[in-house]
Amino acid sequence: MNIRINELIDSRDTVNKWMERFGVRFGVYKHGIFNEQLFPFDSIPRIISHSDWAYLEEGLKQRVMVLNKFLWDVYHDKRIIKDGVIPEEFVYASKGYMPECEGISPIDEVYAHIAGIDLVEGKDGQWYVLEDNLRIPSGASYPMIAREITRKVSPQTFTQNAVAENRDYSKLLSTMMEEMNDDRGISVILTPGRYNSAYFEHSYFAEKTGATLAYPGDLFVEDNKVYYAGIYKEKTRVGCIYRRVSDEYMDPMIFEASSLLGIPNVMQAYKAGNVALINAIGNGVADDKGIYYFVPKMVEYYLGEKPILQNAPTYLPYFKDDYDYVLENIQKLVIKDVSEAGGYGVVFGRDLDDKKLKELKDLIINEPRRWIAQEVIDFKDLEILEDDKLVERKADLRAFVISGKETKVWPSGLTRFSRNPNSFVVNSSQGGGFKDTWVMEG
Amino acid sequence: MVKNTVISATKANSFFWLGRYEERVYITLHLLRKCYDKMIDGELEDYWPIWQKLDTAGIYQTNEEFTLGIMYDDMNPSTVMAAQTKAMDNAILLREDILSETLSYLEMSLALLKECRNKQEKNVTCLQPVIDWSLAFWGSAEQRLRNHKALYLMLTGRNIENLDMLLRFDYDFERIALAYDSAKRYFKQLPGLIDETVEGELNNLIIREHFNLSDADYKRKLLHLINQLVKV
Repeated sequence: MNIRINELIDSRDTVNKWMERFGVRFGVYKHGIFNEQLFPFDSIPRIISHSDWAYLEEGLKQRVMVLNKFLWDVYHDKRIIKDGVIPEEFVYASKGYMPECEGISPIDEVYAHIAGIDLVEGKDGQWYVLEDNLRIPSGASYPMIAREITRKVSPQTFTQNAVAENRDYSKLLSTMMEEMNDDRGISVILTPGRYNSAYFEHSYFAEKTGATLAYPGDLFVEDNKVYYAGIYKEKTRVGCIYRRVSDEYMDPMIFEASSLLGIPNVMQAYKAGNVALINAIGNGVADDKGIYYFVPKMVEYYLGEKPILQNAPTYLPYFKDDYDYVLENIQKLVIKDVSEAGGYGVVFGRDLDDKKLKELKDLIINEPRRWIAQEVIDFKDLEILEDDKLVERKADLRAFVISGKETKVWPSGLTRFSRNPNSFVVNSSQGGGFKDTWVMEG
Repeated sequence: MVKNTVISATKANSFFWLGRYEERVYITLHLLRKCYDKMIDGELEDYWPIWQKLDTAGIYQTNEEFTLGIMYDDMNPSTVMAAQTKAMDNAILLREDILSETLSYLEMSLALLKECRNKQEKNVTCLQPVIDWSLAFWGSAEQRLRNHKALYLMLTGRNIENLDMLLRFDYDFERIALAYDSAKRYFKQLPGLIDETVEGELNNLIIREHFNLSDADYKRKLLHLINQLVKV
């Protein structure tokens, strides 16, 4: 393999210029003010060998298939609760559990059509799943457009390296949307609007998939069917909505009454099987940080198999043994608030002084269900270019799994890195950058 | 995937205003070049009328303030920067229709305007690429927009803005009549979106016998009607 690293390094500014040209940005709200910024791109890719990928692909498919089974079970038979594998309070007390979804059967029993699974690679080469994102995982557009641009800027690099194609993500998406649509009408991507942090992605996916980008107010429900409203009062039937609007804002008649982002009565159309929602409503119960602990158990329960992918060693203070361990070892653990996302609510015990540690312990004692604790994984650093010098930074990988009639893993992913040398937090909302992810062909 | 051929009200609005603002960028730069040419060897009163028409907010008091302000001031709606920003605000909502390639010309223009503002570039020639990219934008949009209604809406916006600016700058009858005829080509493609009463009034007013832009009431009426013509 000859990755022509110098050529990639030299191309960084040109690639970033092209990114600016194509408006590759994400939005951040700071002190209530919306700002758009470029997502810093590092041109040295993360490289995943063919054999590593084969392992990850198998593990990711297994994990997402089982999470879909879990979601079906939670909203139908509840066998996993009745059989005592998962305590019921972890399901019903989860903020992501939506009682309104009880008994609703999505097409082909698929709930998580698009899953973003966050992984890290340990220094020993072992991959660990850190988080499952089954609601509105974002980020695939960035490596997709980065590849498009890097291939233009540095074609020789790709001539000399057999890298799996990643620009066909839009094809994976559109095929899945068509399968879920089942010829009922057009497919749309519902965006909350231009001031959403991931708006670039919404509009880029619409362009690349051929779906219509719909804004709040463009869609309405009549006789339990969803329509797209035209300026001449025409109504076009909608068969599939890839919604980038959170569950609680999707239907003001059922959820948050003040929501102007959703579609009144869409839940009725959904319940009647007249429209596919991608992802399904209510998925938050399965990507809850508390439920994460149980995913390996789910694999054994539903499939009778050993989990292929490992979780990071995790403790639930809800259980007495874990509670004691966490309180005793809090200074070496990372503590996560199960109700937070985007890198918020994550605290490293080693960063806290005695007073703060005591406060955190008190919070855990008062609400043990609200927290999980994990061993800090010494994950592999990746090289990034900073001020013309190569430095090493923590990085994770968000892998994307698409489930329609079949479950497929996108041979790429979003590699996010921390720009702060002392930080493990890689989220773009907290200043991180991104890399392309190369999966090498055999 | 089944292609949607219907345009929503939100998008129709964006197409129309994208056309208007992008044309505003183009014409403002064109007029600025004329204005600066006069300013080279003229007295204040030579360019004062043009200055007044461009600086509708009336906030620039010196030659330098005007030069920089009319190009880069994003607080004044009459400037190149404000028009380009508004064009972008509308275009960004239409990426899947006009496609990223088309949108990129506006991204580059806005980036260049910001770069020139940071350098406080006074010479309007630094913005020549904005004019070039504007023309490239129109060419690309025309080639790539598959929805003809959307294209006609955008071109209607472009022509309405052209007419509006020509009226504000007191162009002669031939130019105005030509611009109006050019705009009318698209009206019949947009049934229901053009106010026929307003169009009838305009047809009666834009004729040689009535044409008199030195009559303030006549001019005001024309401008009012032009801006009431399209119902989006």
